[in-house]
Amino acid sequence: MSTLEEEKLILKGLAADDKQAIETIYRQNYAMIQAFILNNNGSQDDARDIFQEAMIVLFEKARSDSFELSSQIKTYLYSVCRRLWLKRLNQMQRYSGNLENMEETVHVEEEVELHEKRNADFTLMENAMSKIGEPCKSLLDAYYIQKKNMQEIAADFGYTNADNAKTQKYKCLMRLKKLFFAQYKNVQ
Amino acid sequence: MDDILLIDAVERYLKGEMSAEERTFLEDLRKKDPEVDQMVVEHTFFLNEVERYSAVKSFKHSMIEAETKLTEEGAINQSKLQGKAKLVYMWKRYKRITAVAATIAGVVSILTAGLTSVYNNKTNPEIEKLNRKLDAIKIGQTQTNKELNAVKSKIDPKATPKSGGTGFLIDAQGYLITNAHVLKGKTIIATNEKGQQFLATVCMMDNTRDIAILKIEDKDFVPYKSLPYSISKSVNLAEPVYTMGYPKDGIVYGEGYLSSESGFQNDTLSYQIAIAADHGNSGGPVLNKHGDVIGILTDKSAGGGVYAVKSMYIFKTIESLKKDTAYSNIKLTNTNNIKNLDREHQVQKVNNCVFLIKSYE
Repeated sequence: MSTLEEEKLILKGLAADDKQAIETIYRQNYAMIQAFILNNNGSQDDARDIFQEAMIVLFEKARSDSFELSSQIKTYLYSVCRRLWLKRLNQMQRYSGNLENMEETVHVEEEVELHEKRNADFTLMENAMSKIGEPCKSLLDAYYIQKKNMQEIAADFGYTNADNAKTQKYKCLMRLKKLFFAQYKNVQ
Repeated sequence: MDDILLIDAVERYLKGEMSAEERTFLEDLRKKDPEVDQMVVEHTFFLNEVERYSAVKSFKHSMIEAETKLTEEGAINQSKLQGKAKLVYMWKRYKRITAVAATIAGVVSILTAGLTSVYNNKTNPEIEKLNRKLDAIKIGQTQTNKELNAVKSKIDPKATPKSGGTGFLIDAQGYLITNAHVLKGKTIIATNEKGQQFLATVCMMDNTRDIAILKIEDKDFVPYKSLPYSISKSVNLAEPVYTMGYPKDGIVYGEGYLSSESGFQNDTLSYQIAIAADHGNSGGPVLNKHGDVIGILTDKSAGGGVYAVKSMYIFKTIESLKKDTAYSNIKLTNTNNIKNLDREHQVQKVNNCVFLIKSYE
């Protein structure tokens, strides 16, 4: 069991996408969540999915400005997994009475709702990204995801200067934006 | 062009790269012009979405890496349940199905028992013959293996290869599979995607199925911990497939789809696939979207098509090879840890399991 300071450190690492932190959380919690899912009508794959989703909830929480975790990581993850799994069971109509309680829980309903909305946005962005085609995809990827500057990008992609690359990036971004918002408005 | 400037300005504004002067200017502009204001709000929202997308995407990737690592270490237990836990779990999950299945199974077994006793009388003499041929080939190959071990330098730089193609690992210890027709010479060199060369020997060759098994026998070769892909027998018509191979010295990726469950002139040994492939692709893996190997690419392009030897013959070949005590320790790869990766990352993992095969006189 880790102390409060250790937990804070882990969460800080998690927010920075640090491998060590991710591994630590897996080591300390995966078995418990897996046991919970397996005991409640789920499979290995379900456990893996649910745990991953809960990790993303925790990750998003850890990197938000107003971050404050009022419970232990373990309790929080368990609460989120429990909530997610309950929803999943309801969707599949496989809910078989009571979920057994292995841990205390904290209130996470709103956060799970928020996560689901974000998850939908993520899918929209993924769809939009997959539709813009090359070289737009790589170009935007280099600028917004790998955070390269325009000079580097111009060199990598063979544009004669940074301004040309910038114009191309602008065109690509507009296309992505259009694709994204077109779906976004449909969903809303 | 104005829009480009504006977007650029907004991005710098959000990143906090603007001077105080520029900031005030932009903020004034926003107050005066609602359209500009709307654009700033919209673009901010959009950039946040892009930012979150990229963060979550890279986080997912780190998570899968962590999972893979911990599963290999055995720190988390993903693929197997053991002993009692497994039984209880299976029982909980399948008790209803089991009851129904048991009833059906009872009825069916009575019926089949009756039917088999009536019809059972044939065995297949073809298979017997094939097996005997295989044995003969094996003996020949063992001979060659011995000679090859004596070769010291890997290859004379001036030598020209007699034939070449692609091969891929099926066992992390260094067993490769390829097409038999790729191996016309006696000395075989397998080169990985980094350009390292390894001497390989032929364990067996089956010209009918066009399959050959090689073993990397080279002190420079470090056996892998595990292979990223497993081998799958199930396929669907029209499913997307991809391959990696060496039509030239560098590795080449190609994608296509499974176009028929039989090969040239209804050859049931192979599938037909629609994919861009060259002679050098022969012997390369054909993978499905999960990264499971479903066949071995072969360019018996008699009909102009591309074909793949069905993966079930990999299992069969290894089964028969295992009867030879020298090879009884072969263990076919059986876990896939790239299933949930996107294609680029799958390819990165498969990359170093695919070898350029050249054979010399």
